[in-house]
Amino acid sequence: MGALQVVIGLYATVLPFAVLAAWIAVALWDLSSRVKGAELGRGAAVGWSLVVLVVPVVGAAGYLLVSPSVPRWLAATYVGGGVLAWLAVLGVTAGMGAAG
Amino acid sequence: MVWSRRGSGPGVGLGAALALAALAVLVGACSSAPEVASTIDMEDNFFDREVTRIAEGEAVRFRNRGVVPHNAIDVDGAWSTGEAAGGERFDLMEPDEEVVVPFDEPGVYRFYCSLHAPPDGTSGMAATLVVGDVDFQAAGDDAPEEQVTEWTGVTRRVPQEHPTIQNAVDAADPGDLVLIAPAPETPEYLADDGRYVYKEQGDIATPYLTIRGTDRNDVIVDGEHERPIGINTVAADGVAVENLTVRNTTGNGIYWTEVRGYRGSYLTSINNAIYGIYAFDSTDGLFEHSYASGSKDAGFYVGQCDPCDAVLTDVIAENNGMGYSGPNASEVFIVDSVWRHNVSGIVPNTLDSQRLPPFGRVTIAGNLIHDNDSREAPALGLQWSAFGNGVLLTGGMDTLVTRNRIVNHERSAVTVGPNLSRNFWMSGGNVVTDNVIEGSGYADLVLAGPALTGNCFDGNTPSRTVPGALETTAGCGPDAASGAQAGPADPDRGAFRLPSRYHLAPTLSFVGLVAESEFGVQPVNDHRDTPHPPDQPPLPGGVDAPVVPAVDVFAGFGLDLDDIEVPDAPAELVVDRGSVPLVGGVPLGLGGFSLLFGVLGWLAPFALFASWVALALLDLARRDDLGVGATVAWTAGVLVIPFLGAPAYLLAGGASLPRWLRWMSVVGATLVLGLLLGMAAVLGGLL
Repeated sequence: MGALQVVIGLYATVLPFAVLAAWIAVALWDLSSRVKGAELGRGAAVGWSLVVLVVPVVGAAGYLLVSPSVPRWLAATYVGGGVLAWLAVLGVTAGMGAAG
Repeated sequence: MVWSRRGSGPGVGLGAALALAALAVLVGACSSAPEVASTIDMEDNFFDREVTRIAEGEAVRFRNRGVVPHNAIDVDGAWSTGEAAGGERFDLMEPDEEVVVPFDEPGVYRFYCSLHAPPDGTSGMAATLVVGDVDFQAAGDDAPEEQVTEWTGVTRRVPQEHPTIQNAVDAADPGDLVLIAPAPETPEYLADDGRYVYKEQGDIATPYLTIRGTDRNDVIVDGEHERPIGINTVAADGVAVENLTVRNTTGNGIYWTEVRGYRGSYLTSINNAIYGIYAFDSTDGLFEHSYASGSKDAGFYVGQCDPCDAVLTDVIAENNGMGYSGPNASEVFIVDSVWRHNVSGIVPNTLDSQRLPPFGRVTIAGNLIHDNDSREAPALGLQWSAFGNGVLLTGGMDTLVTRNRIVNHERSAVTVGPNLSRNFWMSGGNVVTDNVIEGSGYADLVLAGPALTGNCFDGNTPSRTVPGALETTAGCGPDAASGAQAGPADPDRGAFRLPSRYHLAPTLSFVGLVAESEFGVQPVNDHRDTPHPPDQPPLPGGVDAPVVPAVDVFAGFGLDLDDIEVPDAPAELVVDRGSVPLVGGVPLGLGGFSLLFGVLGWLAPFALFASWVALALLDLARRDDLGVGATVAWTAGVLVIPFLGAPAYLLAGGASLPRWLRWMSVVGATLVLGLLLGMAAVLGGLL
């Protein structure tokens, strides 16, 4: 139980940052693809990139949810799934008494 | 956190170890060393069993598994671990050291540790070795002593009626007063510094005595850096020691162990090597109006008791390894005192080398805690890991830190974190409220992980916490209370508390401090060079003060936490520590090993894991060979399976990324990082 407590508690600590990193990566990749496909101008892409990189959490998640090139189900899976996964792990940690 | 270490000490490299091993083989081939029939472990302040039996001609291995030095000495002088190791009778064994003692003569050998038991081995850290086929009957428990609550009216004067303190103590009956005048100004009492001192160790086995100096600053018991303890009370309940100074012992200044009822009042402890004023395995006690400096472990120490029912009030600890250390000591109240210029301030902690882990329900309130980041104070290697913290709770539960003024600490004002002993002890349920904090280098408040639930922070107005915004995300709620210290509800306290708010970077930073001490970066200061304090305030009333045996001490003290306020800052206290820059919780500028372990042990693994998740989700988003169901399922696996979901997808999920990239990211990078971390651990002496 002790080792599992440590692992789950640690995962609850790092997961949100890893998910955020993934959102940013996917959002920037999508922006790049849209510029290449001439769906988006450079100025708009730079603006969105700043929003994704600078606005904490909401910037990347918001972009994924509104981008026309990211399927709705995929955006919902990544954004909603990321949040739900974190909440689920938090719930487990709280149940196990493994996190501060 | 305080980390215990195992293995060879610094300077014993692999080559030397191999050479020693080869030498041992050669010696073994050429001699008939006795067979080691039994191993006796020395834990912190007890041998692991009362009676050991071996055959004639066999040997015993003594092994120090504690975190402080010990030894084993035959009460009749027949042998000692020091002599068996080729040294002197009272030589100490450091942690992890082993000594083999051969026994050719049959008999019953009573032995003791000179730091933690009286020389007759009747109590404290003592045990029995039976060699050969001899009659031995273990003694039964003695009948409990009758409690003496009042002075008998008998005063035994030293040196007027008794030439030594020991002589007076041996002659005294329970309830007597032993009154000690300054040592006679004759050559045999003259110390190197021109003071006249008692050159003896007082071993007290008679309960309910009051040992009182007539002058706190001129009645001096001096260990001359040869004797282990100044005043040594073992298994004698109700002993009060008052109004005198103990200095220059090789172990403890004033010590109580295995007692119920003790009191130390108006005591001064100077340059006693390990501990200053010290209670172990004892309950119902009080340290008050006392001062301790120049001890490598701690100025004040309460250990192994639950409940301790102990109070420390109006004490000053400075220039020690730790101001206060409290391994496995629960229900201790540390109030209205000053802790300054130590390597670390107040450090309740949990150790497996003592009984009753973990510590819990300690109250730290109304203290002035400042500048506990001294590089000039003496410290044992282990104590260096606590460097630079005002209050450090390591591996304990339900402790309350409130209404203290905590200023100028290179690391933190308050850190709650884990402790690695033989077990890994996490902290939980600790409450940190309403402290005034200034001048912290790393952070004002730190919750180092991993941690259990219930740690909370409120009303401290910190400028920086690690992790960030602790008071917002780990608030205490209106019913903030800690263990036995329940207080009134406060509706203004934030109730919101995320279950996961600790940070690993400070934990790795502590590992870096351990590496520093192993590597030899830790400052090494001789405790004998610690400056002496000015004269300290005497016992009011002096020789005419009431004589009260230490009975029902805790209840009689009448501690009222509601009366305790944040102490004022003295005029000379200037806030002069600035914040160091942090990257992901890793401090820049607090030592190379802290940075090294912070990067290799926290930042790099975290970045690697984040890259796996990002790569996996990016790859899933780019794939058009998977249906919605499979993509959702893999996404769930990547996110929900702790640490293994993302690498599993990258290696076995049919990812479209090049094979070399996936294997290099997951396997190659992990191996290289592990190798670098291992090399850092070897470099830092941790492996």
